[in-house]
Amino acid sequence: MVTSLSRLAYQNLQVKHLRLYIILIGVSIVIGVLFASSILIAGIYYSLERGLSKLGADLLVIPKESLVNLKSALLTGEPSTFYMDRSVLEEIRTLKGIKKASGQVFLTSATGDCCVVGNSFLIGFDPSNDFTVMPWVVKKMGDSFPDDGAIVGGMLPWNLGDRLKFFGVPLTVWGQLERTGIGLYDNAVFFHIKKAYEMSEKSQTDPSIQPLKPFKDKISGVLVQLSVGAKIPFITFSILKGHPELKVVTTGNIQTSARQTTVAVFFGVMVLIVVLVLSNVLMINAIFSAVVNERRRELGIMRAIGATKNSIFKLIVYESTMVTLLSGLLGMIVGGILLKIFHRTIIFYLRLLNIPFMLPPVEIIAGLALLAIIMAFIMGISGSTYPALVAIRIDPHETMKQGL
Amino acid sequence: MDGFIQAIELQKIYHVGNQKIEAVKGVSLQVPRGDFIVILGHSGSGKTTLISMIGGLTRPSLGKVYIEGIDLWDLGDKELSRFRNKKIGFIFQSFSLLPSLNVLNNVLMPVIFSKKAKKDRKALQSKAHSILSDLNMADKLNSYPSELSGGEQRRVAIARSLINDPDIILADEPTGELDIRTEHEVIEIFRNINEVYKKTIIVVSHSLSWMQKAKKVIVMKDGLVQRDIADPVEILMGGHK
Repeated sequence: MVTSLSRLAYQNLQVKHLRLYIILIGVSIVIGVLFASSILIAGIYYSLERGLSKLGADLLVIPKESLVNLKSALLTGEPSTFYMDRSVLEEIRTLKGIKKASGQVFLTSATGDCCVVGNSFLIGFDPSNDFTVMPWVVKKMGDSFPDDGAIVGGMLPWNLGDRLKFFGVPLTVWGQLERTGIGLYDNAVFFHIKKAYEMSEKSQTDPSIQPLKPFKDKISGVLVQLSVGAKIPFITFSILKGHPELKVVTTGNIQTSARQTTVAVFFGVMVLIVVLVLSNVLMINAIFSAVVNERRRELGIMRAIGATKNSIFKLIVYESTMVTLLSGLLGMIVGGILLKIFHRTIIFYLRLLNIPFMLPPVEIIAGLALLAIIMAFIMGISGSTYPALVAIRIDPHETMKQGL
Repeated sequence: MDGFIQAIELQKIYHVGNQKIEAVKGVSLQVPRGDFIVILGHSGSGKTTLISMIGGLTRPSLGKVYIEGIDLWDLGDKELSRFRNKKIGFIFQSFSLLPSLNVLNNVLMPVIFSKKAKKDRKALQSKAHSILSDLNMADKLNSYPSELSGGEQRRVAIARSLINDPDIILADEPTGELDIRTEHEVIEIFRNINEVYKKTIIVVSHSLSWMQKAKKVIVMKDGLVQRDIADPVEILMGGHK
C-alpha cells in the first residue's frame, strides 16, 4: 500500500527500468572507484602512520645533508650516509625539556655478504637508552637484548635463530618486527650500536669486506622525546643555536612529506573521480529533467489533489537518491570485490613505486563506506535539485487544460 | 442563499506576447451546499479556467473565490494545497491515473499528501475498497491503469476524488472520449455521489447528456455566462444556442 512519498518514489522507479540501470551503472562505477581508491589511500596513510608511530620520537636531529634522503629512507629504507659527532647527543641530553635522547647509526648492508639477500637497512641502536626498539623488546621478549642479537623487519626473509653476517660481523636473529608497510622498518635490521662500530672498523682493516665510510664514535641521528609541556620551536632553537650543520625534523614534518608523496601519486585518481562525479551529476540531472518533462501531467495532477511544492520537490529528490544510494551500495560491493581480486597486484605495483600499503582497520573501512554512501546521496540530491525545482513550478491548471 | 461556494466577478487574463486574452470575463457564481452544477460550453469558452479558479488551481486576475467563507486566494501555496487535498476532489479528463500504481494505490494517492490519513492503513484500505465496491471496481484493486478500459479508469479517478471525503467534487470533462453507454454510467455515478455521498458537484463538459441529471446548468460562451438555467429540462426542450 502506497501511503507515503518515499513509497510513491520507490513505486515510480519501477516504471522506467532503462534509466534506472543507466544511473545504477554510472553511479556504482564512480562509488566503486571512489571507495576502492580511498581504501588504497587510507591504507598507505595507515601504513605510514603506523610505521612512523613506532618511531616513538617527537624530534629527529640529523645532519642537514641527510634531509634530502629522509623521504626515501622512510618510504624505501634507503639510508643516508651522513654522520655527526656523538657529542651532539650528550649536548641534547642536557637541554631543558628533553625527556629522552638516543643516538642511532644508519648504514646499508653490502650485497654479497654471507646470508644477506639484497640490501637491508642496518640500524645500530644503544639498548641502554633506546626508546624506539627496546619497549618492543621488553614487551615481546621480556628480556635484555643480547650484544650479538638482531631484530629484523617484517619484510626480511629470516627466521629466529638465523645467523647473519654484515661487514664481517656475525649476528643472530633474535626477534622479528611485524610488518608495518614502511620501508624503514620492514627492511631494517636493528642491532647493538657497538656492532655497528665494529662493522666500520672491520671494513677498514679487512680487504675482503666492502669498505664503509668511517663513522667510529659518530652517529647518523638523534631521536628525541620531549618532556610534557616542552615547546618544539624552543627546543629546536636550542639545538640549532650551536649547530647550524644540523636539522631538526618533527614527526609531523615527516608525515606531511610522506603524505605529499602519496597525494601526488593519487592526484590523478582524484582528478578522475572528480570528473566522474561531475559527469554523473550531470547525467542524473539530464535523466531526471527528462523524467519531470515526461511526467508533467502526472505531477500537475498531484499538485491539484493536494501535493505541496515541497512534496513534489521531495518526491523527485527521493527518487533520485534512492537510485544513487542503491548504486552506492552496489559500487561498494563492486569496489570491494575488485580490491579483493587485485589486492596482490595493487600491492606489487605500489611497491614498485616504493609506496607502502597495508589494509586499514575495519573501522576505517566502515568509515570510508559511510563516506561513499554519503557521496552517493549527495550526487543524488545535487543531480535532481534542478529538475525538482522545475517540477514544483508545474502549473496544475495546465494539467486540467490538457486534453480538452 | 447558502453561499457554500461563492465566485465573485472572476476574471482571468492571459498575456501572450503583446496580446491580452480574456479567458473569463467577470463571472459570478453562488453554489449552495449539495448542489450539482454542470457548466456547458464549447472549447475555449472559459469553463475549465473558471473551475480552475474555483478549485484553487489558477489564480484569478480579478475577483474572489470563497469556500465556506474562506477566501481561497488569500491562502499561501501550502495552505491552499492542504485545502484542496481536504476539501476538493478533482476528476480530470482521461489519463489522469499514475501508470506506476495499481488501482488501490491510485485511489489512495491523495492520502500521501494529507496529514491525517497515514495513521490507520487498514481503515484506509477498507475505505478505498468500499468506494471501489460502490463503483463496481472491487475486483480490479490490483490492476494497473493500462489494464483498464476508459470507463474503468474514470471510475478509479472518481474513487480517488472521494478517498479524503471532500465536500466538493470538481470534474473536468469526466465523460470525454467515452462511448454513450459508458458516459451514461459515469453520469449516473455522479448523480449517486451527489445524492448518496451528499457532495457538492461542479462538472465542466460540452456534452448535453449531463443536463438530465444536473440540478443546475450554466452555459458559457467567450468567457461569460450566457445562460444560467435553474431547470435543465428547459434547455432540453428549447436548446441552448
